[in-house]
Amino acid sequence: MHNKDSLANTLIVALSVCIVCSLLVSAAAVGLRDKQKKNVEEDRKSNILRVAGFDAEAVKQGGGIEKLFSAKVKPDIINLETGRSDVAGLMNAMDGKYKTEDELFAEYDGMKVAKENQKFPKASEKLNVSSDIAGLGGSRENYAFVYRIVGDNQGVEKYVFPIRGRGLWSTLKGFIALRNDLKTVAGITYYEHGETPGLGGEVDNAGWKAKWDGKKVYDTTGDVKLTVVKGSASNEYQIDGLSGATITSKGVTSMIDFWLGPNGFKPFIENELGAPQKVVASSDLGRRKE
Amino acid sequence: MSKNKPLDLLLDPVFRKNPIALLVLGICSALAVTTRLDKSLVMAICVTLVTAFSSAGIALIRNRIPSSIRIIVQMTVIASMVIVVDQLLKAFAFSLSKELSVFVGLIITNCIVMGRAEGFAMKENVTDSFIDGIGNGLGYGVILIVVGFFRELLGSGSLFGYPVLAKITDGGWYEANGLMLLSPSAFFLIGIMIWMIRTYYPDQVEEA
Repeated sequence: MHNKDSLANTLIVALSVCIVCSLLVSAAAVGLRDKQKKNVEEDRKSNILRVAGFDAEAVKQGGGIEKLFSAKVKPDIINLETGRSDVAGLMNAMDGKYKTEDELFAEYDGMKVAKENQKFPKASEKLNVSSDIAGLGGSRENYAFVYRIVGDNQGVEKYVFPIRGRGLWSTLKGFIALRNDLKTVAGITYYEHGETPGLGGEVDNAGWKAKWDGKKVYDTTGDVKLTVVKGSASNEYQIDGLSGATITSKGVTSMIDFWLGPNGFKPFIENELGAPQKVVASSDLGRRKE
Repeated sequence: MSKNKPLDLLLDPVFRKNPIALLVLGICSALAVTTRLDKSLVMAICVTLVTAFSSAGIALIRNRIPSSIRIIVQMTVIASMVIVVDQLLKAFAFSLSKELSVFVGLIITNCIVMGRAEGFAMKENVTDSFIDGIGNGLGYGVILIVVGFFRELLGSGSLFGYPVLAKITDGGWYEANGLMLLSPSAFFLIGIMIWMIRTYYPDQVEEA
């Protein structure tokens, strides 16, 4: 047998190990990509359905997420500044990164755009220190998803908005759902965070999340008043604090303040309220259709 | 060359020569992923697969690996296995892969995998190395699952996510032990287990 420590053998072994391993890795990555994409997509959809009050776990078991989502949720992309639907505007601002609108809806990630604001200058804008209350890192995307949850006869029953912001250790990412008066919270959920388990991590706690239902967001002047307080809530603008998690609680308050405020979805909310044909009180739904 | 008995290869690392308890390897991930039993279980399976297949792969080419680059060759094989396992998790166990996040990738740095590749697979044949890999993965897994069992039970009052002890925050009687959810508790649990194992096998006790 030839000398395995020779230079030639060293190079041959190094090269062939690299080739075999890279083939293996790329085969796994390419072969499983579609399934992984589907998982990410399904995960996002089930989070939206969950915050809108559907029993997403049960539906997921039955494999009906896709069907329920397309029946109940109407995704839209809005320009945060004007507060109006502007899919074409985003297609344009992303400089041809997405070929079709379907691709845009499937893959657009506002957080990524805000982070890489150098790459897509038209799709994001700088925030000054005083307005970056949610700790977004100095810039915000200009376009964001909103999801209208429709009832049986296509009237809007709820709105779901993506929210994110700094907690203690991590950026918390989630959704908040408002009822169709766009003043009352219907639900909140966090799908990604790295807060302390048992303390800040309790943002996942179903009991705590249930406390959000029915709380009011805006005071009479239209400012965001909803706050996570220390201790117990005493009125409809307050949520019980998470004990032992002051900074996470503050982070949650700040991100609500930011995303439902003038730099967030407020312009959209005002537009929706100013266009009464879209805002149908749920009790009126049946009558209006007839 | 001494003949290895397959059953010994498989079971020795689980109890008598446990990589965590005897060699105190792979502690870092044992702390990180054991807050819940399901995470521990999936991590155990991942490490077992990676150790088994990378040991087998390295044993297969052991006679050709030049000693000057043997560590980097081992790392390449291990890293590839880890990426494949990570991709599989993302495709077939998405929610768990999200929770395990970076720790699957960090199997690469798990000393057990590297230790078995360098210490065993470089000298032994493919079958033995494969079995040894499975054994060591199981040994790691057993500790992980035991630690995960106690941490989830005492820290969250549940097992596999199903409530067992009704927590006060959910209207029950059990005051969850927050320490169990933090990493240091795993030190205590692993310490207690090492104590028990070394009481049973006194020959493992190191001289003070």
